Order: sequence, then C-alpha cells, then structure tokens
Amino acid sequence: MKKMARPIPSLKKNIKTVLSYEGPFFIHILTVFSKYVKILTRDFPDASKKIYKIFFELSQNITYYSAEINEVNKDNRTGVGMFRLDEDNNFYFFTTENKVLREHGIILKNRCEYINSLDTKDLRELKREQRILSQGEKLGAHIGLMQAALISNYALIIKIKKIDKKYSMYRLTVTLDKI
Amino acid sequence: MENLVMHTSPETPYFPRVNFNYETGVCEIAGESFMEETYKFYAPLMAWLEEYIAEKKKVILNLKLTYFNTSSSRSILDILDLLREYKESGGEIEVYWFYDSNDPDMEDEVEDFRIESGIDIQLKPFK
Repeated sequence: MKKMARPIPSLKKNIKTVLSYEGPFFIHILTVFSKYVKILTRDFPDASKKIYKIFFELSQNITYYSAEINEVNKDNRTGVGMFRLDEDNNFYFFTTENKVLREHGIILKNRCEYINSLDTKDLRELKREQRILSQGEKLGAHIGLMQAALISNYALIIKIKKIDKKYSMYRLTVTLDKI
Repeated sequence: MENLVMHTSPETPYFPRVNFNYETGVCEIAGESFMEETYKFYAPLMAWLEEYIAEKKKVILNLKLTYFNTSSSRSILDILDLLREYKESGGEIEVYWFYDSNDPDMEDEVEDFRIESGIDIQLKPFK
C-alpha cells in the first residue's frame, strides 16, 4: 500500500443517511438536489459550502464518465449512478458510485492512491500543473478528484468491485469535518 | 461592438451572469458556473474579449463567482491567460475577484489562479 499523506478519519457507528439518489445525473436533477444538500447541511456552514462543491464535482463526473448511459434522445443523454450523503456526529461522508470499464477502474484507483500520497502543498501544485496542461475546451480540466481531496483534507476512499469481464462498479467516498 | 450581456435564471442557475461593457471596459462574470459543455458557454466571452482588446482599450475584469466547477476553472484560466498576453503586449488590465470571506477555500483558489496565470488578481471580500 502506498504511503498516505492524507488521514483517514476513524468512523463511528452512528452513521445515518441524509440524502441519496440513484438514476440519471441530468444537470437539472443535480441542481434540485444541490438545494437540498445546502438545506440539510446548513447547521455547519463551512462544511455545507464544501459539500456543495464536492457534490457537483463528483456528481458531474458521473454525468460525463459513467459507463452506464441514460439516453432520452440524441440531445439528452447522461451518465447513470448513485450519490449518498451520510453523517455521524463529527463528519459528513459524500459517496458516489457508478459503472466503469474495468481498465478505467484500475486507472482511477491508482489516481486516488497517488492523490492520497500527497500532502496539501504538493497536491495543490499538481492541480495547478494539471490544469495548465489540460487541453480544456471539450475535455474539461481533469482535476476533479484533486479538487475533492483538497477540499476534504482527508484521504479519498475508493472501492472497485468487478461486475463482469468488461465492467466494474466504482465507489468513491469523500470525508468532511462538520466543524 | 455591442455589449455582451447574458442573464441567469432560477431554471438555469448553472450559468453565471455576464456583463461585458464596451464603453467602460468593465467585464463582469457573477453567480455560479457549473454548466455542461463549458467551452460552449465561454467561447463567446473569449471572442468578445479578443475583439475588444484588438482596439487596445483597458479591461477591468470583475469575477464574482461564488461557485465554479473545475471545468469552468479551465475556461476562467483561458480568460486570464488572454489578459496576461494582452498586458505583456502593452495592454492595460485590472482583475478583481470578489469573494465570500466565509468561504474557506476561495482564497486558495484565487492564489492558484494568480500563480497559473501570472496576473495580479486583487481579492475583495463582498461580505
């Protein structure tokens, strides 16, 4: 296992689900849920702002990159997946899950492990370098996972589960302090 | 040249408000930016700025984004890079970032933009 520069919080038992959804990740659906994310986390304003950012970053990764697609017509197709917001006394946990090609799952796992091995200073530098190098335009910035890790300050928790020869299920959890 | 004005709405909160003024050179982007196909939204903003700076006029860029996704951040960097090149060729620019002082991450974001773009972005809290 690679060295972890980012801590993993100790989990308590009293975890409850605040909000969850499974289905197509159209932007209009995400917009509606984002309002609930703000409302349901308003008791912890700093964490609420962070969760809002992570919500969109990880959810839009499903929109663009999920291997399972919902297509209404040629102009309306989007990725399918799941998000869940959980909490215990001290933390929020934001989890997304979606289908990926098996080889992409391996790449994502390696990328998360590398991100987790970097401290904040090095991770910010990597993010800056990556954003400058990204081709932009249609390909985005490719720094979403880094951004989530920077906002979180904890290790990204990733699980890859094989579905069949071609696909895996990719689950990512981001942890946030409530205070 | 005409002004460039784009409105946001409750139905499309993922588009920021845009107001680029030809007479004053004040160019404002405000609200939230998390649309799909980011490049399609920002392409006309870049085109307007390219046409405007060809007239060698001063640009005052006011960024008032309370949230932007990482796709949008790439487009914002493209705008900042354009302004840096304009400044290096003798053009006059001022760039301000208005932010919520209660947002724990925005100062770091702007610092990253400063480093990546090489532009002096002045932070101004609006709360």
